[in-house]
Amino acid sequence: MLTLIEAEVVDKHKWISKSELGDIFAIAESTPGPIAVNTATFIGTKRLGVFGGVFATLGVVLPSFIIIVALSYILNLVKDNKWVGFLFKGIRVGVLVLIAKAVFSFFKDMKKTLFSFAIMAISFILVFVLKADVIYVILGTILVCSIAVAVKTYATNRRCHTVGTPEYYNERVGKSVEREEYVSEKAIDADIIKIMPPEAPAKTEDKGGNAE
Amino acid sequence: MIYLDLFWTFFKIGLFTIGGGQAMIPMIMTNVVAKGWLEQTALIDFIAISESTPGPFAVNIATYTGIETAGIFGAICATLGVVLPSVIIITIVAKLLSDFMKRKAVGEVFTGVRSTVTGLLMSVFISLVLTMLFGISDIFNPGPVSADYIGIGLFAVIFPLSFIKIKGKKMKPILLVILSAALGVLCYGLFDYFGVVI
Repeated sequence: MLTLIEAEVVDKHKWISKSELGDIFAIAESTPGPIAVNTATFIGTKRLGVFGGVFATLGVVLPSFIIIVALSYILNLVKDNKWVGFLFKGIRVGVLVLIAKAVFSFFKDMKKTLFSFAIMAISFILVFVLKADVIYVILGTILVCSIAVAVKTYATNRRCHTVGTPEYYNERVGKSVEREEYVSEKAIDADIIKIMPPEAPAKTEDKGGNAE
Repeated sequence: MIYLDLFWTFFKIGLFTIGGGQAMIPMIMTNVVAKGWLEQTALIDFIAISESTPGPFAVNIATYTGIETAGIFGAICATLGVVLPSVIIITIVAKLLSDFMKRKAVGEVFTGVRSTVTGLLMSVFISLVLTMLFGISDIFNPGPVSADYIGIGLFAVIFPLSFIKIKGKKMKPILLVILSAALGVLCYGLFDYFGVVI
C-alpha cells in the first residue's frame, strides 16, 4: 500500500516530496488510527487544508466500503453450503498462522529491553488471565511510558547540566575539584551527551528506515 | 441506539489503534465479539477476507460489522466512527504538531505501546488456538476437550510453509489464505467423503 501511495502522490502528481512523505509515514505509524487513512488525511490537509483532508480520507475509505458491502451480500448467500464451510474451516487455520506471524513481527520490532518485556508480560497477563479491557491496557501503557520517558529525560538533563563551569559542577556534585580534574570529569559527562546523538541527523536516519 | 453504539465503539477502536491494522484485532475481540455483534468464527473468516481484499483492515472490519448488525446505515456509522479519530488527530498534527510528533520522547512512548500490542496479540493467538483447535473456551475452567485434529494438522503444515520465500519475497497474506482454503477443502472434504469422524 505504501509503495502505491508513493508512486501516485510523489511520482505522478508531485503533491509532496519524497522526504516529506517519509516524515508523514513515520507520523502516521505513531498516531492512532489506520496508517493508510492517516497518510491520506495528512497529505490532503497539507495540500488543501481541512477540506483536502476530509476528501482524501473519503477517497481512501470508499473503495473498501463498497467492496465489503458487496462481499457481505455474497457471503450471506453461500455461507450454508457444505463445501464453503470446509473452505472457511481451512481459512480459519490460515488466519491463525497470519496472527502467529503478526505476533512474531511485532516481537521483532520491539525494543529488546527489560522495560518493554515487562510491559509485554503485564499486558498479556492483564488481558489473558484477568480479562481486562484492552483499551484501558493501552491507555495505561501510554500513561506509564509517558512518565518513564519524562523521568528519564529529567535525569539525563540533570547529568548534562553538570557540564558547565567548574563552580557549577562542584555545587551540583558536592565535590571540590580543580580545573584539570574537572576537565577529565567533564570528558566522562560528555560521553553522556555523545550517547544522545545530535537531534537532526539521527532523525533523518530513522525516517529513512521507516519509509522503506 | 444501535447506530450510536456502533459509531462510539468503533470511534474508541480507531482512537486506540496504534501501528497498523493487526494491532486492532485484540480490541475487536473484546468489544465487537463480546457485544455479540459478530461471532468469533465470523470475525476469523473476516480477518482472512480483509487480508485478501484491498483497503485498510480497520475500514473493512468496521464496514462489515456495521452491515451485519444494522444494515447499510450501520455500516456508514461504524466506518465513520473508525475513521474520525484519524481525521481529527491528523488534521491537528498536520497543522500544529508536526515537530512535536517527530520528537524522540513521543516516539519512545509509542514504542512502548508496541510492546503492549505484542502482549495483546499473544493473548489473542493463544485464546484462538484454544477455542478453535482444542475447543476450550475458558482455560481456567476447561470442559470436555473436543479437539479439531484436522485443524491441528493443517496448522502444523501451513505454519512452516508460511516462512517460504518466493524469489526472496515474503509470502503475501492472500496467498496464504488461498493455500489454507485449498487445503481445508481437500482435507475436511476427504474426511467427510469417506465418512471418517475424528
